[in-house]
Amino acid sequence: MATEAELSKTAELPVLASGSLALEIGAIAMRDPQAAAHAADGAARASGRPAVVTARGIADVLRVASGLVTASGDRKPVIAVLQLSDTEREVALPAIETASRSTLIVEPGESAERLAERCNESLQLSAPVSLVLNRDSDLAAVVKAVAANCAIRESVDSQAEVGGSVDLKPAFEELREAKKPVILLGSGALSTTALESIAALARLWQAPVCLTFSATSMAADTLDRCLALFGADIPLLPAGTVPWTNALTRADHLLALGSGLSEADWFGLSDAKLVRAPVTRVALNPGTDGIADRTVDIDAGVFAKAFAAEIVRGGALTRDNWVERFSEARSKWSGLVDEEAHRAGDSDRLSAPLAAREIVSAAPANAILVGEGGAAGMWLASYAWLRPLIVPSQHASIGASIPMAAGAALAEPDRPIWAVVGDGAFFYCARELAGLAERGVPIAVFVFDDRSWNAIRLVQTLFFRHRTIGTDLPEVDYRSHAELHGCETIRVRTPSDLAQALSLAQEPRNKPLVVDIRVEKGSIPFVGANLILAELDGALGPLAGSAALGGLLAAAKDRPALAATLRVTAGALRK
Amino acid sequence: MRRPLLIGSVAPSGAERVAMRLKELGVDFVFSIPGSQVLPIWDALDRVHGPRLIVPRTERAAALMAEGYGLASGRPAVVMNTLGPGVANEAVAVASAKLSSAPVVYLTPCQPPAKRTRIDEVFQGLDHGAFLSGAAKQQLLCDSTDQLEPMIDEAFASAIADSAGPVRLDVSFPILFRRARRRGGRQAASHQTRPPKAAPGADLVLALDDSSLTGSATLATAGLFGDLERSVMPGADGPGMGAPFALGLRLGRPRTPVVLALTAESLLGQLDTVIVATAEGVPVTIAAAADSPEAALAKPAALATGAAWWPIDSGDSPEAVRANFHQRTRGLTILVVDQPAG
Ligand SMILES: Cc1ncc(C[n+]2csc(CCOP(=O)(O)OP(=O)(O)O)c2C)c(N)n1
Repeated sequence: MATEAELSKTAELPVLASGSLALEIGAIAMRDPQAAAHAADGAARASGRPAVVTARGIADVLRVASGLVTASGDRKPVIAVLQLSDTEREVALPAIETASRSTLIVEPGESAERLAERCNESLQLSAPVSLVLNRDSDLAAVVKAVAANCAIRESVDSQAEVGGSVDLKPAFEELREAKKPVILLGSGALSTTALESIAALARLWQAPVCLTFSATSMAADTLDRCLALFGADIPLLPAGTVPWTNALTRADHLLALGSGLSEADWFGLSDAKLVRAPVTRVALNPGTDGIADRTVDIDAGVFAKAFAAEIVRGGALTRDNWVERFSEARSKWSGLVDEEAHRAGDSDRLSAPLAAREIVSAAPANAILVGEGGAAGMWLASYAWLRPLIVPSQHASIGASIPMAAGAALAEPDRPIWAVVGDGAFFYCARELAGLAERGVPIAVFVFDDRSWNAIRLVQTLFFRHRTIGTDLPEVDYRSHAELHGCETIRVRTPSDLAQALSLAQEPRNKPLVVDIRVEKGSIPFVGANLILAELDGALGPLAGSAALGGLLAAAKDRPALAATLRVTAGALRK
Repeated sequence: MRRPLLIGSVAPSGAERVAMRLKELGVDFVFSIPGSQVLPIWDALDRVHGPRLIVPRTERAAALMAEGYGLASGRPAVVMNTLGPGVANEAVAVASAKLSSAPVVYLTPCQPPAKRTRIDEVFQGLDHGAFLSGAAKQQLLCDSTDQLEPMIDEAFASAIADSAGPVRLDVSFPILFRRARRRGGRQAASHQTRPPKAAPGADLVLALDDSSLTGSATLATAGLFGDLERSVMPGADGPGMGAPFALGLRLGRPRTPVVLALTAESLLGQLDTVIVATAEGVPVTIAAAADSPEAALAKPAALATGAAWWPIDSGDSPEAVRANFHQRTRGLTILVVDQPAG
């Protein structure tokens, strides 16, 4: 099977495996099976195309299942081809079935081609897909057939005319009445044709467009297309930012296109009852969500096109200046966020926001940035404003950014890949750096060395009266660890060290670069503050009674961007 | 017994009741990677001076330490990882404890009932029960504070009963934050143990990273050939999981030397456990035959982690080497061995 360089030239899907199995079937070799699953996930996220992971036996298959959970949360098109005996299935199959959105059990005598066909059908409906083979099956043949034959189809429906099957009139009538409409754009509406129709609708309807959390980290090529289509006049607002929150909470009607309306899609805003506007949800096979006031089962692009035609015919009631307000808010917000980065550090102290900001601005424009669920990842997301970004949203998992970056490099070999990892999370997959070094893959990895599990310490600071038990980490020399794995390394202690490291990162090389960045302990990222809402939803009552509210606001002293974010959190706590 | 939780008239939180019960059950260690939802228990463990918190670097390692601890001590080990992605990462270790019949209690926060009905749409939502139904021996679910103590007791009893194994107890996390008085006469918790499974009676515990290492030549030159018969390893056989397992053995069997055999490649993937062991006061020695290819990789690994480095002299007799292992009763010794062909 193909390497990074070869893959770009073929239509074949990347295949990842670990240990001797990788050798046996000619897959890209990862050290750990879970990392192989994360790498397939990263490849799928970076490119929007499927990727394959394969494993055999309980110990490996269950580690793949662990990795699949993250892919499954964000419905990424990972295909897992897994081989288990009957007795092994008793232990491992439930984990596979729960971690995948479709599971196909191989039937005796079924040909590899037929199985690939079935896999492809499932892939269109609900990914990730697992194929479970017995020990007699020819694993290599199935992997080969899947890698050669599976692909995501552009939604067929979006070409179709609106048929008589769905009556769109009632939805149109309500939506046309909106004076403050907002479009919530989810990852189910990112096909080329859908995006064209949605951009045209946003322009006609004068509606700002909020990206769901998962759409915020859309595939790199899709983002390029999106930015070209929406242009400067329609504000595209990334999840978790204050203008995004304001748009969602101040709208008088939300049109959710291709979103599952899961908590992670909008950061628990729904659960905190902060969104009061009626919600019309449009998606193919939408299922139930308990949130939408009206659900329309049709392709989001088709709906957008038809609704735009309706507006051309009959007009809409959108207020003057409604959409412009968000263009202004957007530029004001990036100003605030920038200012905080600079305020947080000085010439010899390096803060996490400053480091994240400098990394994002030094990354080449076409680079894919890779983050994770910890504070370092949240800082990256705060500054990677409409840049190609990979971050697990539904599960906010930590520890996957190195293998996800490996997968991204495989799927998008022409784009530089820059990843951020927390010091706590570093060891989840650090050994994968060795494989990248052996294969000469030049990703850059920035370790945010703050000597703590900061995102958790933050919750202790805010809600447990600063009793930061168990969340401090011992001093570790991450640089010498990266050297053990064959990487180029550099240590950063000051802003000027960072500038030097960043110019090194921009240079060509034939191995990974690992930058050990010592940042100050205890940073509070904007995004994190709101994430707590989703995370502790259900226990916010008892917490509101604690010192939390005062603590929140004290934390935001002199930090306008954080204060603006925390006002939302505090508002939710008061309810 | 004193009831330190009822300070004044404030009823204990669910988390404080969990911490108290673990203390009453005589639990020594809680192996845990945090998430917001486990924090109330962490806080309570500190308040009640309960079991010592061991915080490794991955959920998998936490769970494998517990497997080793359970096998070595014959007492249920406690794992407390966070919900969703935390539980996701436990999968192989839960199965491993089932396959090795290790008594382990997984005490995990989970989403409240209203969220469990639409778990796929919930932030960090994972159906723990379905995910681990094949791997766990038994699974319990606690949605009310009244049930906390009885269910913890049941989990402990079940983990150790008959063929021991991993028992999971999911606790709806909002009840950890809520205050509620313990009702009625509390029954004394019973400390239950079973005979240790890992090399009972042995004067040295040899742990293998995976079963392929039985043919390693280094084991013979290090005088450990005779220990192979009683060697132990994680129930889920596959390289890369031996180090946390061996640290668990170490904690569960004080005073007996514990030696872990693994390949250099596997060691390099498990250096986090060396760091965690050292931070927890368990000194680690990394050994390899001097001038061997293994030594070339093992020595810098020892340096990077602050472990002691022991190059085994080729002139030493196997008996002499074993005697040296044997003296190391406090720490953990890691012997880097050759990977047998085939
Ligand atoms: C697999 C997994 N385990 C645990 C968590 C809970 N969690 C979220 S952030 C965090 C701390 C991350 O610490 P570190 O990697 O050092 O990054 P920092 O927050 O310090 O930047 C943890 C443990 C998670 N999201 N995913």
